[in-house]
Amino acid sequence: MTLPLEGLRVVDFSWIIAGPFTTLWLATMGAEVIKVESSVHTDLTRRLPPFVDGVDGVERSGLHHGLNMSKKSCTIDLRTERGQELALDLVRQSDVVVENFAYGQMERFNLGYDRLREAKPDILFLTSAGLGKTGPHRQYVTFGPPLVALTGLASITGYEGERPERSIGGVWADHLSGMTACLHLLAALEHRERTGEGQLLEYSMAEAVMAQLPEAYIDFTANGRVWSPSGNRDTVFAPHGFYPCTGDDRWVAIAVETDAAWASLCQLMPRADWGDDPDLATAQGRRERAAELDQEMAAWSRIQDAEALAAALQALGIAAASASNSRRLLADEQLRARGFFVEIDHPEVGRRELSGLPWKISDAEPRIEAPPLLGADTLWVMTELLGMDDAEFATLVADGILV
Amino acid sequence: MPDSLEHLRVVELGGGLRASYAAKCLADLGADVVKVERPGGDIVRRWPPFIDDQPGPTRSGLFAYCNTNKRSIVVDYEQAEGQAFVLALTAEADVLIEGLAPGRLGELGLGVDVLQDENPQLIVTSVTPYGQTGPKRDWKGTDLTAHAATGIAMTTPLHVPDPASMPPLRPGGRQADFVAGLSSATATMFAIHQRRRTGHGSHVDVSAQEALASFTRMDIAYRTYSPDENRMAVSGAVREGPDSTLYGLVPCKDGYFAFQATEDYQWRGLMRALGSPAWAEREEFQDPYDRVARWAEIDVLMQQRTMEMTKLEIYAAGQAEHVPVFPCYTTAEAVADPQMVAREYFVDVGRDDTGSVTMPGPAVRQERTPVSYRRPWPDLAEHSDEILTPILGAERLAALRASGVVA
Repeated sequence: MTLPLEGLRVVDFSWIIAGPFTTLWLATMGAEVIKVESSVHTDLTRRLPPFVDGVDGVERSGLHHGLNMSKKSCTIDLRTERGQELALDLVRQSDVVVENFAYGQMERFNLGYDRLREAKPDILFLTSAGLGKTGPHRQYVTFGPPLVALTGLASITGYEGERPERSIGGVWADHLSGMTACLHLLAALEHRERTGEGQLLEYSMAEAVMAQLPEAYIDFTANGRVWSPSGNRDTVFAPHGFYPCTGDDRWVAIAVETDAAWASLCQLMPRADWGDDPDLATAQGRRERAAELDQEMAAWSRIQDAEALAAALQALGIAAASASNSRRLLADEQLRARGFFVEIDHPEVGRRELSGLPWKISDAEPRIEAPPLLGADTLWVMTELLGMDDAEFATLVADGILV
Repeated sequence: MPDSLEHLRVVELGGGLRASYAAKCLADLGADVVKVERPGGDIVRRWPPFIDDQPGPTRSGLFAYCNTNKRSIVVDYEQAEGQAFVLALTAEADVLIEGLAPGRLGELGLGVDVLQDENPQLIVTSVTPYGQTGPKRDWKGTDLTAHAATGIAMTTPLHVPDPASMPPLRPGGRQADFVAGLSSATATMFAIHQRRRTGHGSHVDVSAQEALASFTRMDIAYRTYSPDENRMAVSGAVREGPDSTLYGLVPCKDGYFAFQATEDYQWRGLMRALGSPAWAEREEFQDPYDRVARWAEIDVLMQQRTMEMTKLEIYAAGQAEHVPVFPCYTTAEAVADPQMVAREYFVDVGRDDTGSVTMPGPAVRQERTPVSYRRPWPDLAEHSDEILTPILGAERLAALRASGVVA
């Protein structure tokens, strides 16, 4: 079956989460993604949990595996001149280079954009340092979780009237910026297909997060209003929130989107008095009395099963969902029915399920292969792609260049 | 400079935030996007914040952001003549992005098969809460319910002292809607590349639940790789419990700052940034696991120093020690941040009837084909004449207007 990026070769120097999340989509959509790794300074996620059975090892991390399916791995010591030359040879035979080292690292490897472009004039080079490659803070050390504080997202997340929230689920900044970069890379690739021109793409993880905060930013720039945490309240819908249910830490999310949905909710509860109250006929009226409504809805929901209540609300056309977690997500009937989870068969960890793709394309079945063992494809890259003979390969391995 | 997607024609149908943002992503990259609205307009036109707090069809800041670079026409596609017109539009387009309920397009006589019979090159991208298939395909969904249905809300915050009184939280704004839109735009680009190889368009099916769930891969891996490990709180399976990683948000003189010190060198750097307090040398704080376990003690000790420093002082001192330390900015502070200012991240876009609005700019800088701002967000039906007249002729346009099919 044809895949969108078949025939495209990507040299992937990226590591941790954001960069590998970008190249994960390229790989599953058909590109040949070659991770250039060091077995001394491995991709950090090879050393981060969860490990199979809790026993650590560079081939055992589920975090790493979930981000690196369908890729190849080639080990090169980029601190050596010979290693740098080999990397450059690989770039000459490739279309895209992706990296997200700290600022200046690629230049220290003598693999900056200018040199790459000299070697391969139509190369697409996607590069990122946490706060961007220009500006006074370009060298600042960035990790996704604390970075969320800088973006303003933390300042508008949290319980009403309480402090900003330190943790956003889903390793937010990393995944969001990785997906954003993938979109732009595909657009630049389209330009390259049409014109033959490569280019430099550069992003800041912080800016990618801020691109999804227009309401809060525009309310400030246009109206001078500074947002603070408002719990689960919404600026449009009401009632709107998580309501407790029976069982341990079970909740149902309810978002009343329309006045008709409100009328249905009043019937279900039943609260004819609310249905007849003209003050509650509009979302604005309901927002003004949100505390009162939330309290009484919580008393109503508390004795009900979260799944059953969500289904009952949905039957009346009211947006509702029980609060899932990682355990329930794996059993989610909707995700299961659509085949969201994928299974890999890996030499060290066996058959394991991992999260799959965020889209389905009718004529492109994603390519799902086990993530590569460290250096699994070094021999193939050197001899098949770069035409190295076996003797030289053996020498370079012995000299520690290909580790 | 040229735009990456200047050759692509996109039709957007159904409105709402998810489809609008998907089409915005392509419009900012140069695609010619025609937004087809029903009489009354995209619902987001009525969502706050409003410019100068004055509601109006062109005054929603959220609408402005999500519809810059697009043109608007109004077609009542609930009527047969309107449907024929949508078919005529997509016959000339590369992409249709639609956010209608699953099956609705077919009920309107505009099913994917019908559209692609007319234009085999057409890519149809459908974005809905749960996707086009499965037992919940007809379920309603919002930003909030997506955060519920993916576990994101259960890990925001990750740990709480008392789950019974602390509900799951959705992240601020409408993050799930945006992620669904972003994923739809990305998937559409894959379909564009696929079309180059196959010669025909495909149907792209994006579920907001799956788009957001793809961010929870670490949590899922915890369950499938190490289900017995006594760190279930890390995976979001259990919220109750102490913090299990050393990163956090700590009060300081003028607000909060955030840090990550999971690695030993980060912790030592942070201590130097805070003036090397004597307590940091204590035996019980030397092991990283001990520091996590004793966070309650450390938090108190740390604040003795941080309450004397501003967030910007801590930011500078921490980064000078190569520690990932950041100020917790309000939106007002972030707009004025020297890095954002130097990179000119925020852009000004405006209409004559609203004035200029400062909004977030491009998330990725493209050297040769940068994101461009070619036109402001459209008024309702602003481009009906220029788009409809060549297709319908002035007379027929007037007739259809009179019968309420177009505006």
